[in-house]
Amino acid sequence: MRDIPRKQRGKRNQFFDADGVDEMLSGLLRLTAEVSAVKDRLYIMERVLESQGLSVSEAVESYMTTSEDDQVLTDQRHRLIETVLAQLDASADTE
Amino acid sequence: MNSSLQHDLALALTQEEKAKRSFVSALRSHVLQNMAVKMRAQYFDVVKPNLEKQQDDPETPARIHKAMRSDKVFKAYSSVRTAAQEMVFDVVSDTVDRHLTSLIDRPSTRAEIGTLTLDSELALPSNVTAIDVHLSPGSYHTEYADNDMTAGAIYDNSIDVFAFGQFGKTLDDIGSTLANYIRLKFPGFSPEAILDCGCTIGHNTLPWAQAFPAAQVTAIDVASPGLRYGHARAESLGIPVHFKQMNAVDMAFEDNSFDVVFSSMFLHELPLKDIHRYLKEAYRVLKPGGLLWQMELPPMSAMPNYENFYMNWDSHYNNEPFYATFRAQDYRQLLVDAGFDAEHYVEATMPRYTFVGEEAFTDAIADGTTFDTLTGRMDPKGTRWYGFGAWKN
Repeated sequence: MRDIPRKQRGKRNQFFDADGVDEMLSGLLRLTAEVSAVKDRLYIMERVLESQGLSVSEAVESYMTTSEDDQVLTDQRHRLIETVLAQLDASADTE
Repeated sequence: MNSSLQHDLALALTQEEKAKRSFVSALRSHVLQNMAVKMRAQYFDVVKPNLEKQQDDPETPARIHKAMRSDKVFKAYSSVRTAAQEMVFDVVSDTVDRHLTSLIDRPSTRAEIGTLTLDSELALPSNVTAIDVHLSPGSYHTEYADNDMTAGAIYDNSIDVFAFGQFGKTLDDIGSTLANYIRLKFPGFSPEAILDCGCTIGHNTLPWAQAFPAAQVTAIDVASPGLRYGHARAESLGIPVHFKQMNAVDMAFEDNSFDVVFSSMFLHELPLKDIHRYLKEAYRVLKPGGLLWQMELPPMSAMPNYENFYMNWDSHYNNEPFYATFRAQDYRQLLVDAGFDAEHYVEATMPRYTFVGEEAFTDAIADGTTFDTLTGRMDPKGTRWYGFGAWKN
């Protein structure tokens, strides 16, 4: 456990009327960050496997993304965000 | 996302930490661009027409806020933005926590060129200690170890994630822009002593030492973790700055000590009574012929109603409770109340120096001050920073 707290002091702002919706959304986004991290790692692992053979873990850890890699991953992240937030983002269009 | 930090205190990131930072930056970018555009359209296309049918009250930022509170697009924007803000601190705190001991014990590899003077007896103001400013757990003052730098390291790493590139490659675009504006706009002005108030980690202080290498640069803040970190950061970059733990509303400097008193994103974090106290102190420590120069959010009087509502979101929901009150002030009158002459007031909006380069920047600042919807906003389309201040007689 780390010493730095994970939650700020005071009551958290609630934006949705029903209790728990904001917290659920927060949890969903944090889960999405985890999924995003796994996807990033898999992408890198594939690149590493292509070039390095069997020493997968060490090679992945030390891999530095190229500018081309960064572009692929950035596009991938934006697609993931749009997918996960699709219903929220679309709300303006359905009123 | 590899860390953008280009100094010896940059922390080694695991691939997972890089990936999470990249995700949170992308999420912030999505909220502040894509979702913000949809929220604006929702107001003008749906909410505003409904309001106009129902009542004849004039449109004000407060009225827009009240109406938007019950709008589902505003709720989604605000909920996701809050979650993203919390995630910024959470993801970088994992890294800082893992490296904290080695960061504090890090041997200095360079000769000292600046100084660090702490005051353990200094009473910390409640605007820093009573709330977790910016939703940052522990705020800026909490210490977790002897000689702690945690809050400073969290701040440096968090703005790297938070700004999604909009503060420049070395996170110092605000300081670079405001310092170089003075250098280029007033070529005959050669400050010998420069003071930055509320400096945090000094990221916007260092550009002053670079723009005016002959000047002695001093930076003050109330929070020691940021000062320790800022001092080590400046030393590692080879830029001489003298960091002192001091409250800007009650400075220990003699009268007429500085040619420039600067601050960035500082006033809006202060209660109004402390803004008045700080400005009077700034006037006192400025030499005659010296310049007070603040990078700040643009005043509400200069911006349209919707932009004021949008910009003041932070005051309601990001633990920056004094922000909207500050923006409602007449900035020129604040300086007059502190002792400056109204005719010596200066203000400007300017493009980002480190983004556009010196030639385009020089051309841009030759024009008069212009406000638009990008003034004071972080936006890849072309943020313009705002500065105001006054010359002391």
